Amino acid sequence: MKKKNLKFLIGGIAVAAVVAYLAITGAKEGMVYYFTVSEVHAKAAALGDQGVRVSGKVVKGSINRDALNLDINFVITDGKAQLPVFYHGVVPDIFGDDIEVVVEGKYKPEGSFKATNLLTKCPSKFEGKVDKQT
Amino acid sequence: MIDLGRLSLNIALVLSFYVAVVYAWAGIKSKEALMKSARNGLHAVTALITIAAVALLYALIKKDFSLEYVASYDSRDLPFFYAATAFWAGQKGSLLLWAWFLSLFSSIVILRQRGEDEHLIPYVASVLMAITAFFLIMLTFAADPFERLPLPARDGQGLNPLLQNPGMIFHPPTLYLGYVGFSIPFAYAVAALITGRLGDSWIKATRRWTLFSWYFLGIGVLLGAQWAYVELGWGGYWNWDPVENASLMPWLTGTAFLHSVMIQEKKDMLKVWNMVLIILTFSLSIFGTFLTRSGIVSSVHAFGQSALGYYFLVFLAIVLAYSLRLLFRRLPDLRSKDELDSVLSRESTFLYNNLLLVGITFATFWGTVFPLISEAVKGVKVTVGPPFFNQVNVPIGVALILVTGICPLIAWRKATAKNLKRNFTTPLVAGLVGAVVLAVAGVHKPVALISFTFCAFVIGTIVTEFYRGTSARREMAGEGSLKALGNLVWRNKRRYGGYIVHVGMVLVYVGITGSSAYKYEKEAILEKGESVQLKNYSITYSKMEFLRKENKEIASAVLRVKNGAKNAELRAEKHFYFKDPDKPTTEVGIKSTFREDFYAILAGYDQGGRKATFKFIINPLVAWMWVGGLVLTGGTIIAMLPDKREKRRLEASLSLGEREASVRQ
Repeated sequence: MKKKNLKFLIGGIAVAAVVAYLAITGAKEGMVYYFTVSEVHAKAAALGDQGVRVSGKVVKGSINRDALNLDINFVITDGKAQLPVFYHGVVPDIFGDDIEVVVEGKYKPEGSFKATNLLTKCPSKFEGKVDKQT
Repeated sequence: MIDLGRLSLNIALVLSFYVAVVYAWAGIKSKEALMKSARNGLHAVTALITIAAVALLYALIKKDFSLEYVASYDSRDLPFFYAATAFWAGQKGSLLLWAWFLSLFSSIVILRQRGEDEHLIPYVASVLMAITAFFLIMLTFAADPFERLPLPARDGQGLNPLLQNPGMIFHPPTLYLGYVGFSIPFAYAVAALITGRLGDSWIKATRRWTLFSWYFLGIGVLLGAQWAYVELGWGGYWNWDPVENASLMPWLTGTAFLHSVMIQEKKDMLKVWNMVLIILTFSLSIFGTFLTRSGIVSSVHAFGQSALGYYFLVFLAIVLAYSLRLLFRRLPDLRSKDELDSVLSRESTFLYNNLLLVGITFATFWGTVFPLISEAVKGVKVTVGPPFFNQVNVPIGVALILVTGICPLIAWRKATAKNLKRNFTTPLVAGLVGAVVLAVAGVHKPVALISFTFCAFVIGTIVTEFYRGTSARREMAGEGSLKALGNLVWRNKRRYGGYIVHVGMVLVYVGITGSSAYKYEKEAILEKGESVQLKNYSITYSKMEFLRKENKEIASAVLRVKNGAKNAELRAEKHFYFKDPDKPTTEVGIKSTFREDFYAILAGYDQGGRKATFKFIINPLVAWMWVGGLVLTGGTIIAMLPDKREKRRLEASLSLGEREASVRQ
């Protein structure tokens, strides 16, 4: 192979290697398991302190919020199991009964969930758009 | 009216198939009569889809609740503007909009055709009609905008209040102009592959379409970010959400394509790469449309409410299989005679630019589909969030800005040490001075400092270019500075328009860097009259006002914000729509300066507003993102304007022993 082409090839591989390295380490840090409510009860205990995401629907009437404190307690379900969730922070406008949410945080050994992130999925009015609050 | 709309679409469906077939046949047989028939058919398809679009618009304005679509997104109390633009509020209307734009663009392409294109046009039109046919299939069998309810509703559900915002209204159509626009260069590329006319003619014919699509897609993404920032009210504008990524990816590859075709035009290189890029860009546009409208990644187990996801996947598979097969067959003819001479040259910086852009695209794509793959492979669904995307894309993005600065000044073919010294000394100094100034001013975060330094460097290179060009004109033509500058830009709109676009992008980068690296936030529960301090801002909660409008009630918290000597009043509100009183929308209060945005969210309050909870955020430099968008717009307009001198240069190069590959059928 010509020397010039070899230089390009090495350069190209170097760039690709850097990108791949960034991607792999980034994935390791950014990777979060995504469970349904039933799955998290079964599997999360084994994960220890790792953060996970859980998706579910807010159970009607389960929302208990302090308008001022920004502390909110609610229960999510996947139709089979239920999971009590605690979250502190500004809550997305869409949030409410029967809304599909994804909570990110830690599963507590007593079977409840402490969320650091709350994402809501807008219902059919605007398909697939996710609304986030940190 | 509804029946007319439905009928028009049905006829258009059949006709589009006819036109696609006949145009291709006419191209093969070179029969003028066939051409004429196909051409008329194409315009007829456009007319029919227009009729259908008008019919839907009419139904929305007249609030005809016998239509499922109107009942879903319109309501009696919805203002005219939002009733009309509810056209693209949902899946079915959006698909109709796509089809309508595509048919309009197709007609424009045919009407504007010039002599040089005539061999390509039949196949271009055939491909465009085939894509139109696909959308018409979906509009007929899976997503009928004229679907009737068994009983007309008494009132519609109305438009989600979050969408009742001017920015959000323009976001989908601008994105679609971009997505649909990329069909044109794609169709030309396929036509070039079919006819074997693999030289520049397909690129020259589509330059403005590419620029047009790139611009609207980019602005669409920016508008979406602005909407998220202003409306969704969490203080940010980008989340690496699958839907956001889906619109960004074709823009990235589109940017790469926009640049690498210049290399093919000037040096006849990267021909295979250009084909790959446009196929990728078009495929990602389809993928983007599909991802947003089918909800596949957010909820993996359901392919949306309809079978639309399957339609799109099949179409995508056909597009990729067909175009890649064509490309593979033409591979020997696409080899260029020239080679890249040096790792340090303008050609190679274009290549690095492309590699970096494709790198970001790949990383983003990977992060977006990762949950799907991990579930299929490991049985467990694993998601990656913003930390992943930021970790990978930020370094690549910063490297990209550096390349943007280097490229315009570096020599073609091979940059010598002398050439580097001559061209880069001033900008390098500018960058270094910038770095020192920033470090002294308190910018110590390494990534932010590097990013800002590179931005200063790029501005330095662009200013140098403008300065050199203007001085040369002043000497040669004896013109005054201002006139020289004006003429410089006017006589080479493409190049200098491009530089202005780069300036716009740098401004967007500056905004992103500032607001990402130096954001401050604070939550506070305040009693009426109480104050809180955030950095150099002193915020006082004055009072809560309760206002009543025709369709909503508003809780408006009045805040007094003091920053040094400056005093301002800001309102953070919650709007309660009568139609949906349990779901208030938060309207944030933003005080925006070029230095930073002060952002206030009303999170909650007790009865009467005696006490209220707020979240305050300081977002530095955000305004520069929107200013950058305006600069981008100016630069794009300049670059797209007709240029007689450029046209003459074009014709000269076309007649002077064109580098066309031989015509093979």
